[in-house]
Amino acid sequence: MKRHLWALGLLLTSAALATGTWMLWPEKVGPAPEDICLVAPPLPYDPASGLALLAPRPVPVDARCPVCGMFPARSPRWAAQLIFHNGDTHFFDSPVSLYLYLQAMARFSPGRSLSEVGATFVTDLGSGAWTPAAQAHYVQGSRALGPMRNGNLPAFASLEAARQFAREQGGLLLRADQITPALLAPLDTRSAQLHSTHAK
Amino acid sequence: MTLNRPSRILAALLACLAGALLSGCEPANTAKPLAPVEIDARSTCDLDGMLLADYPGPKAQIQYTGQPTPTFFCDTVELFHTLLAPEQVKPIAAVWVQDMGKADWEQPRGNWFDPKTGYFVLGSKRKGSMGPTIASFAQEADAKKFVEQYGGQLLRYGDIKPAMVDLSGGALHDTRM
Repeated sequence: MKRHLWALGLLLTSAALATGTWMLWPEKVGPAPEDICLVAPPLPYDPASGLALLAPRPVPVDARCPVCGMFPARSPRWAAQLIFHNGDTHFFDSPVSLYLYLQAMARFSPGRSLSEVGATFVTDLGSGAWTPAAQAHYVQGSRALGPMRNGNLPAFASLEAARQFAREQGGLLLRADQITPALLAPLDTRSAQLHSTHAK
Repeated sequence: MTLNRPSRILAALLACLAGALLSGCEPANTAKPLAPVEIDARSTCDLDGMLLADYPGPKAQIQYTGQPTPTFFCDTVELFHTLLAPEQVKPIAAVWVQDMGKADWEQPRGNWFDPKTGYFVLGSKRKGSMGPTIASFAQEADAKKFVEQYGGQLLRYGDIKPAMVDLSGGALHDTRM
């Protein structure tokens, strides 16, 4: 009888341990989302900031670029941001990352669509001020390397400033609507496999 | 008594199973000496935050003495920049770079080796995660083959100087423009 109870006790303990282990198991070895790694969820609007819902905000020091993972606060003269209509905001290390995101939104933010984008801003390289991305002037192929050391489309609020920069650093002037997938492809330094996964 | 035996056996089996499962949950490398850590979809460069898995070219890691996890670098230039910096005084237990003679350039995984024994190619046509990079090889023959195909200068570990790994551009980029 005593032995029987002991065996039953061991059985129940083992079962509980096994169940406990099994319940913890999926979290440890469950299929990892191989394709998408959400290191950078958008940051919600902070009403206490006193800023309008769609106004550009300062880059938080710990914000991560949803395209490459970099900290945009570490290269403030190149940073960009995208604000959704609900005030959620993504921060990018450079205009290149912003445009890569816009052209492959389904990959970087599954479930979001372009119609949810309320505003996009890039930093004027000269002054450090935010300027609407669609109206900015960009320089492609200059000697200025940018945060990824590969020429990251520096942006300027004024055409004259962009021209002056291109005279000094080389490169061609671009408007926002000239930043097409074909133009971005050579600036996209991700692995070749990833280029093909988001190509339309 | 005869009824008890099967349940005891079952209990013992379950106890073994639970024990095996529990030990399976613990990190397998706690007891092992220094070993490189593999890159996964969440690994990021400690210098700038960049995702390691999404970018081409050799990656690197430094295991500082007393640190629970290694410090990752998205690029060998950043590694050498850190190793050769005069302010680098933190004691280092181990350094690993990837052998590009074996690893896939576009998505290198594994193939870690000690750079002090390696062969390096500076100024080749192949780009790493941060533009021009230093290709790393465990075997001289692989490094020579790479030079034939992509150009560049073959170097040993001690040949790499701070001016070659200036992150603000400098020598690496001047030759390319």
